[in-house]
Amino acid sequence: MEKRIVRVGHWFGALALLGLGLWTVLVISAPPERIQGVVQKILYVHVPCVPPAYLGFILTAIGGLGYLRTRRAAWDRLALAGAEVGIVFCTLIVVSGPIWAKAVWGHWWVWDLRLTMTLVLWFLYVAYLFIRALAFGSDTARTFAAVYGIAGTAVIPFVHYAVRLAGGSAMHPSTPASGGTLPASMAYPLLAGLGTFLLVFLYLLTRRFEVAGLESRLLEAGGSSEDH
Amino acid sequence: MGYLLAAYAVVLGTLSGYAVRLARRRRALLAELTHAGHDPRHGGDLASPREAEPGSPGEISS
Repeated sequence: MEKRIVRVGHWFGALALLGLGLWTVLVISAPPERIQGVVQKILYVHVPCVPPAYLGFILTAIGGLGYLRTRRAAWDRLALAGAEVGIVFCTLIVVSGPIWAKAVWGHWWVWDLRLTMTLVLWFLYVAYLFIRALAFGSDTARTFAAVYGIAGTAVIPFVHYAVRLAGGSAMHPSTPASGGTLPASMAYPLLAGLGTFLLVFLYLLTRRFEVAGLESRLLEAGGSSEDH
Repeated sequence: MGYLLAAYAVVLGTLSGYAVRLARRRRALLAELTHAGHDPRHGGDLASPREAEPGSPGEISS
């Protein structure tokens, strides 16, 4: 199974490169928005980071469940890869959002529910990676990480439905940006971005999964692995 | 325009930087495994790659 995952990863990489080319053309040719102007194009790079971040954390929970059921290290490596790549995308949400906010709202950060919950989600999984790094390899640490990873996904619905939970008083728009309310010239680059970033995520996930496998094999072979 | 370029630079720079970091780490690990006498492609000892049992510590496929 692991060999197959690594092999499929190369295809994800090749498809992601093709997607990036198409996405770039569509983003450049998309018209500037009437009120925000050209800065609205941050949408095409900010929103596509959201599904990969959620997916990474969901895979951490799936990997945790698989590990608790079977005690196979491959499930634990999937959980680790999901969390790390998920954190990369979650960091990009937390960084690109304030850049857009500063340009449009005039503030880098506002403590509204969605922004706050996204930051909470980010801290949760950074803590997950810290716990794993500090207690590398032991079965107890893997079990604790699995339970933590499963519990962490409970925050995702709060992030996703934060605007609704806040009764529409949050600064984000109340409808998720799925492309449905946008004109075609703006929806296509957004959809291309969503597809491409998902492929980039899958490529990075398979690569991280492979690296985690090589690290554990090196440990078993008696070598040194300073970076977990 | 500056904000737009900053957002794109941060996102694309981080993703490509992370991909490069993973590729370097993978290459380094493969080199270390080879140096330690393990064939990374077979999961066993370089001298006898066929001896690796499925599920043994060095075996990558399940």
